[in-house]
Amino acid sequence: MKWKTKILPWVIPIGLLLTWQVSASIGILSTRVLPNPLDIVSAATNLTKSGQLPADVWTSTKRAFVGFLIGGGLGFLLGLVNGISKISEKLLDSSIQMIRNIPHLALLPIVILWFGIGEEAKLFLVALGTFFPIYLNTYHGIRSVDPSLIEMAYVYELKGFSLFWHVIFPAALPSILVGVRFALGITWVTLIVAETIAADSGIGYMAMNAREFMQLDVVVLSILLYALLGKLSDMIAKIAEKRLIKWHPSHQNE
Amino acid sequence: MAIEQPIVKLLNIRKDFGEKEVLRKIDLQIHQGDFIAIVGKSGCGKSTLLRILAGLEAPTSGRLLVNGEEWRGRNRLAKIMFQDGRLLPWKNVYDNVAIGLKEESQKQQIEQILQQVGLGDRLHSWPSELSGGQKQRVALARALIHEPKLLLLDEPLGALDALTRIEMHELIEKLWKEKQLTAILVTHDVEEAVALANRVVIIEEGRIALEVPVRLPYPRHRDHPLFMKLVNQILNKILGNKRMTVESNSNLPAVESQ
Ligand SMILES: Nc1ncnc2c1ncn2[C@@H]1O[C@H](COP(=O)(O)OP(=O)(O)OP(=O)(O)O)[C@@H](O)[C@H]1O
Ligand SMILES: [Mg+2]
Repeated sequence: MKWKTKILPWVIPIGLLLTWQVSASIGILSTRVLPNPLDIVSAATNLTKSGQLPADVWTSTKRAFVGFLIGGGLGFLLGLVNGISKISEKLLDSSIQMIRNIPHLALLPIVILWFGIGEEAKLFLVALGTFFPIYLNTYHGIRSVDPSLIEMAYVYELKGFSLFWHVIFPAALPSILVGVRFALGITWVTLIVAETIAADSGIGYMAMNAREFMQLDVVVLSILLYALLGKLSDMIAKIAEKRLIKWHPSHQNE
Repeated sequence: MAIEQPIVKLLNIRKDFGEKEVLRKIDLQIHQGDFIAIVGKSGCGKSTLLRILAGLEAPTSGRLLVNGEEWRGRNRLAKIMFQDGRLLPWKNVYDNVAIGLKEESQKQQIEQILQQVGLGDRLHSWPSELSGGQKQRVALARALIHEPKLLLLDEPLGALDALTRIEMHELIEKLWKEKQLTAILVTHDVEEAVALANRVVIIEEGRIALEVPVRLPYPRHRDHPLFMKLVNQILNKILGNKRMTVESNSNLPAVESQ
């Protein structure tokens, strides 16, 4: 019974993959439309041997990580400060909300003008894109801490940092983590766009390069790589969430 | 005791919420070692009165004196156990009780007090895994462990069955005596009030309608004739005279329904 429930989710993907392979090899599906799965695997092996694939994956991952860290870090800090301090909130929040209305990807042309196609352009866009979800969720998380718990903490004489650490931060954490997962999604979308349009390295660059030489297998490979990395970072976030908020009823009895 | 100065004194306290008058005129003196039970109908302002005593709510008018001095802000003598428990969901039972404890010697008593409230085997449970009554007992343990000068309990045992309730009565009574606390207990259960308190205060229409001294020796037995007489007297006062006919009947249910 148990192996059945484990295998069942895989039936359709594996079936599709087989159909794809078979229809490509008997010629129903032209390799000009989609390369067959085995070609993609061999393209991956070749590129790995030549070192290009690991290098590009590393470049993209690094960009994602650093951009996320800068944008997310700033968003977290500002969300924290504005959540706690009324004065800072009055000063900053409405300006931040205004900037939020500009879709960050719309800035791409001007970002290219400013930074060219160097690293800064990608980092800037990723940082900008991840800033807002983390800012908003941190701010909101801190603002919606149950006041009755704060009052309880007041009676039991928690103040300053210990009030923050034992009550406010854990209360806001679920909301912050929602922001993190959202921001991770945005990170990859931003990179895909930025690397495809303006880059001289990374997965997106690999795809655009391959397109010029009609290497369809490499193009599809790049797409799959993005999907994989996106999935991977979401999984890491999920595991982190499970550990950090294991007290939450939704993570119990698992 | 009467010669001693009261540790907390309420003078002519009034509390409005907007248009709504909740407390109109409350005068109350609390002496060191008192155990006062506050009873009254739901919504009559019992929790509000407790919050004023804890310094969490400022009275609209009137004065709160602590050790003879006018007091504003949190009452440092007091620890309140809230009606709704207020456990931190992200801390296990043990850490919830440990909140705000500064001295190592107090931390060493956490396990003991949790055993006393019957949760010795649940130290590492999350609050979301506990029943309503278990949560209440954790909150009770958290208030008791601080051994505050003034212990404020807002319906601490409301979600408990009659048996566990009596066990908790014994525990509260024991700690109150041992640590020489001063306690104020809000309850819906008149028998509970008479079992524990040396004074029962009845609140009605924002005033103290009656203060009944209870002079029975501890531990109190419910089959003592005076015990049931007092319970009936208080119930009658709360319910007006509707219950006059039941007065002679001492076979009241063990737990007063709300
Ligand atoms: N913060 C508040 N704002 C407005 N009204 C309030 C507030 N707190 C209490 N009240 C009102 O004051 C009245 C007394 O409330 P309180 O909680 O003191 O009652 P209670 O005697 O403790 O009732 P119960 O036995 O049901 O707990 C109620 O009518 C309530 O609606
Ligand atoms: Mg109440």
